[in-house]
Amino acid sequence: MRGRWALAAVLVSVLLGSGPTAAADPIADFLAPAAGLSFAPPPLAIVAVDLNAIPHGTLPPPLTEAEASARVASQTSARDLKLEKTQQRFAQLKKTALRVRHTRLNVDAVEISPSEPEIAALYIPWQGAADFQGESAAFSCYKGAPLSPLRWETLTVSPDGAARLDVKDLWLDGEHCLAIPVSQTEVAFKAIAWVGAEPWLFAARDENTVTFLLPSTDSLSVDALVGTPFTVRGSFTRVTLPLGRWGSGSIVATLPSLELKAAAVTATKKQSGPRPEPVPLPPAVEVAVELVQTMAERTPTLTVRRSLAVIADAAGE
Amino acid sequence: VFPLSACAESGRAPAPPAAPQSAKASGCQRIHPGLGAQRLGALRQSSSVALARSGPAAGAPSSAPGRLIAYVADADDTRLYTVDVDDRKEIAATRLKGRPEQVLVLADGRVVVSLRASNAIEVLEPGERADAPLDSRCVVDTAAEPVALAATPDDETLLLTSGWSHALTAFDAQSLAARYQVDLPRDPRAVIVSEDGTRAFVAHVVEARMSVVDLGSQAHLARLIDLRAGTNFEGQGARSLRAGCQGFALTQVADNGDPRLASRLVDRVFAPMVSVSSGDAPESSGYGSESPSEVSEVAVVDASAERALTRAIRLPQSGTAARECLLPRSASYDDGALYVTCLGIDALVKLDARSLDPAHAELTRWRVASGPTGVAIDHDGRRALVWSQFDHELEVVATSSQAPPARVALGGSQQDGTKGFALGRQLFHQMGDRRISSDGRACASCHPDGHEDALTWSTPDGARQTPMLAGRLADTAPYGWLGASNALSDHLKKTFERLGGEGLEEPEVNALVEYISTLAPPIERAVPKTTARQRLIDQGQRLFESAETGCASCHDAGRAFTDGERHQVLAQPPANQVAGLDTPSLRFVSGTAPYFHDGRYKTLAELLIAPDHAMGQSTHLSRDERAALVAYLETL
Repeated sequence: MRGRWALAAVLVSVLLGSGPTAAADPIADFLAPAAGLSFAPPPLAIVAVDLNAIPHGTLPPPLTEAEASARVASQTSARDLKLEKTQQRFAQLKKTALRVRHTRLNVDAVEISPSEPEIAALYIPWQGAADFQGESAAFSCYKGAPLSPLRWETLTVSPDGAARLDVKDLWLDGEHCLAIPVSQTEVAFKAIAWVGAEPWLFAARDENTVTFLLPSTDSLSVDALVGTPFTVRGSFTRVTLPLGRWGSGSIVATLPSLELKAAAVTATKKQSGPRPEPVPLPPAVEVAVELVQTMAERTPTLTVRRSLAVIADAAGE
Repeated sequence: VFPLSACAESGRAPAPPAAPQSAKASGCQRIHPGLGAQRLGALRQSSSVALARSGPAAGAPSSAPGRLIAYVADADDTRLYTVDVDDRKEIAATRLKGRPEQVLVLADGRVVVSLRASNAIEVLEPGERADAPLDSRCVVDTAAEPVALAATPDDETLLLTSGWSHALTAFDAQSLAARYQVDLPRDPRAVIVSEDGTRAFVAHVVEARMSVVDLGSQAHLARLIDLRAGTNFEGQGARSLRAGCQGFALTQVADNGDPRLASRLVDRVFAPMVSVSSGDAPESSGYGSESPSEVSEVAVVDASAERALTRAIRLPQSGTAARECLLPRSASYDDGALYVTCLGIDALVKLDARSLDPAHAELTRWRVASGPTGVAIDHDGRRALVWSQFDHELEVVATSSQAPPARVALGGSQQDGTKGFALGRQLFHQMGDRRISSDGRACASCHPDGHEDALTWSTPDGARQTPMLAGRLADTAPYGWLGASNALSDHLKKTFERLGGEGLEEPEVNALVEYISTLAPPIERAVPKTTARQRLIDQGQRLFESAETGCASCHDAGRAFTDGERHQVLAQPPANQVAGLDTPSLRFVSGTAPYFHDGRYKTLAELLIAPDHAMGQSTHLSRDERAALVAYLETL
């Protein structure tokens, strides 16, 4: 047994290019069982990004309910969003009184989502919050319903790797059951990390923040030493990290895929026939984006790293 | 006058460090200025290997570069080796007055060596020939356990950390006369000086903190930087901070004035360490409650703001951190990269210094010989020089390639120790050995340098404070908090079982016993009898031995301050402790906080006044009497 471990140790050291120097050493022979683990952790790809090369672009602040005091002039709903009644939800309400109240008020529960599949996030912003998630939003239509803000962000990646984030702000008019466009802002993003020729991470910045766009994830950790980070999670992920001296900010995420893709169209019909075989989950990719600046540094350093070993399995790198 | 600044957050009651002895410091100056090898660049931080450059070869132009010289401190021997790095051969060995720990080349070419077990530093002077032994100029007494050295940018002051005395001492770099001494939290190790010379940064082996000492002011105040971090994916605002250990090393950004350098990092200090979760609940199925309980970390500190930038560290998805650098021992910086030597995995790792979590931004790793304790960087030659203490080899690593290092064996057949000692030392530091622990931790993980990690672990038996090993094993049987083993080998086997290890074979256990039995304890310098402190200590001894307090009835001075018996010291003992707990030895008790088997008391003073234990009678003592008792305990 010990000899087999010793042989393994020699093989590992030869493969690593270190030479089997310890093979004849009796102490090394005693310690050989520890060679069961490979010497080094899985390799990483680490990229340093020049912050000055990131395009400037400012994302507008979302609408607030306070701005809704004056009714909007337009009564035209956005054509590329679909509004679907989901009345059955009220039937599922456990509290009968609440269900009756909704019925008496003639309340329609409505789900709003993009008409076509796209790389998007759609959410109702509310003041003070810094983390939003969704590809569709629900609201109620009834007489006297207030206006609510809605934000719809769509990401378009062109073949040359350039990316554009379209930020649309709308009012949800519950009285007329409409989603009324208010403004649209286009922000250009630059690809800062790739797998082969495919970009997977984009960035834009302004004086106070750097915003990153990356694939969708359920495993995201965002942290900032100074200021508050802002995250949006839909069929892509947007993270805005504050810039500031003696500060640091980081994004750590486990991504099921490095591919940016549109959300699938919701399939509600039950499939008949035999149950399909479970599809094995693809290997995950661990990524980290770190923004660091000491008091004495004139510009922050921005580094991006991702695990390479699982990429090799997933993307054939 | 030696101004002292006590640190209020220290885990132990700060005792005044022994005043530095300057009387023996005469004759430390150079006799032949300008002769021999000179310091390489601006390397002002010690390690077990230091670099210098010899003068031009005979007949060569005066502007011709000399040979690169490495001085190597062999802690197993009383020698300092001189190595011609370019020829890769040992060219001289200098006999020292004690075993060297670290070495530093001063601006004028003199070489200073810390003699850890001798409580002294020795100053040496190179001669004209690099292949001749260095001349000893003087030996200067220091506070207990001198370890790391650093020179200020003006090269006028030499700083020294003393581990057991928890002190930073400043010496005049010319005369080696002591200027002042600053009291620090326990176990200071590596020291560096800010580029403007106004502050010293000091690493601490335990408790995840870094000291900052004002060098420019008269008070020399010390402040602490908290290095504790949480983990990712805990959610904002709910992050619980992990503990830390293994803070031996420290390095900082240095641009060396080279405009070609790629990085523009400024004022960053890097502290390699280990982030530890020792468990929240008193009991757990293993040691600690998280898997893995120990994760490699390099804390990044903004030197100007005196604040840690690293707030979150990554937990490995595999659940094991066995391949990580969990016993970091030295570090150096060069052009955007950190070089850290790692015991246990015998590696030099190159990390991305731009990262917030450099420990998990590894660029390259080289396998080196066993026991890498020191690294020095030859910035011009893009080489790292690594001293591997256990194998007695100096490695020359080309930092721009992944080629295996060139190795230079030092000391020939001069080495002390037996094969059992050598194997035992290897096993003690071996990471990832499933025979010792299921999570791959080493003995040295909880017992750095054979001492203890200042942590209380969640274990199957309940909360347990890690005991010190060095100097605490002889005559202290039975072993373990429950006193379940009369033989050390038996206790080791039970420890492996508790850690989920498969167990070592008998010869290996015996080797481990041989090694830990020879771990050298710190030697406190005797306090002069005439001082007020000695009177306080004498009073404390009388109290300790009095029947009224009852301390000595269990902690017998004639039996290493134990009685080898179990006693019930809890009012309501849990079911597995009805027979009581083994009386621990009080040897070196002052440096082993926290106290009590479950670490519930942060200081000795806190223990003596606590009413919730049945150990001796000390709550009735006056404040002065308790201070006297603590003073006595600090001498054991």
